Amino acid sequence: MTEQSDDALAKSFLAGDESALRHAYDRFGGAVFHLAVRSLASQADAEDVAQATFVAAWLKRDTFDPGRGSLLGWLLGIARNKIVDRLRERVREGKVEQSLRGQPEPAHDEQPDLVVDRLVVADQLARLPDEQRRVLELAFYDDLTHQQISQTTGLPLGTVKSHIRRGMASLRQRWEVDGAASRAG
Amino acid sequence: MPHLEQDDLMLVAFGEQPEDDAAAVHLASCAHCQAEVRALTQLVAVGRQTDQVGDLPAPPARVWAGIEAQTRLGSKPEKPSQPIVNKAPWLKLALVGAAAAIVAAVGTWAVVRPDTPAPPTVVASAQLKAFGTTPAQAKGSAEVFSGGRLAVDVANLPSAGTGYYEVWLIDPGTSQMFSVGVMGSDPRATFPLPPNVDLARYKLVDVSVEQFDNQPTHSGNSLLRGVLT
Repeated sequence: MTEQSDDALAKSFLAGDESALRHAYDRFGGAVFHLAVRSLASQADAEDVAQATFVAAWLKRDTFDPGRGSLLGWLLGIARNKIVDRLRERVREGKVEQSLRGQPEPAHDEQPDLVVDRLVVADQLARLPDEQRRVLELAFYDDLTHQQISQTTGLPLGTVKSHIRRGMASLRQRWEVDGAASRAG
Repeated sequence: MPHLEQDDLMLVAFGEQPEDDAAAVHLASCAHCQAEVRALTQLVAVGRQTDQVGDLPAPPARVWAGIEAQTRLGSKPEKPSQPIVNKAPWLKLALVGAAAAIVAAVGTWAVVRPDTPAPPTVVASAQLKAFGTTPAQAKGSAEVFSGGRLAVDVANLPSAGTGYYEVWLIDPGTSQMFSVGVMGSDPRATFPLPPNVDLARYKLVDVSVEQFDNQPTHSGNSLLRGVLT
């Protein structure tokens, strides 16, 4: 299978190319499913939501506007709304306690918006130039100071700062375009 | 003192100190820079969590099987769906009234007309079942009568919230569809069908929930579906 760019995939999805749905699923199915599993704390409900998200996305693909955000962001927005509907439904049916009792892991049942933000920022981080990404990973995951990053990587401090500045600007832009806050409601 | 440089904002957002004291003093009293720091700090917090979503497993294979079944409906590759009825949003509101009026008129007509002819016969019907994430207790039925009317009965539908229910006929082979009409609060509605409709093609009855969002196309949120036979 040829690896399409995200832009090409978005275009063929919009055009109704039948292979585009499968490509979109291969690329973003894991993210959509992760969002559903984390938010709903129920494997069966999460599978339903993941399935319904791609079906709905395909049926209303002509409403996807690449100018307003990425295909991933759009799919996560659809999934988020379905999750919110499902959670409201549980409240109506008084099933909240029941579903919580069945799920021992407290790590689950997270706010969907937090998970959406994490997924779009992670996607953007993966797109950064290698050195920029490496510097940000040291700052995020290893909690190194800018000085320590400079020592670890051998990059001049000024270069570290500029990578952080540019990398953060790129993450921020994507976060504002595709993050949960942009699609709430 | 001017606002903080980007490099200083980044230092603060990552929990370090700005390089000179003047910047720290400025930050303590500047709402603009504080807002920037808040946004960046929040982004750093999100960034620190991205290691949790590094290598996400694919959903179980049955999820794709379900998507395939529900989008292609066991048929050939499809073209982009083009609703063949392009209605304006205001028309939807008019249709709610019109559908109600038709139901009322048919009812009245049946009562007051003394020599009521034999009731129209059912030429096709469909059991409507919950679709996608719709709770399984939602259901309905659809009947096409001679003379070209479609009656839809629904039960236990999830709330339409601030939206409304709409009935569609879909060609499962191509995913082309058109809107039959809008359902009001009555669980039964009868719609006149276009005289030239090919029910051998448009045989999938779909009840969706739609929003008043200036989008004449299907929302993608199907509640019930069934095939006319």
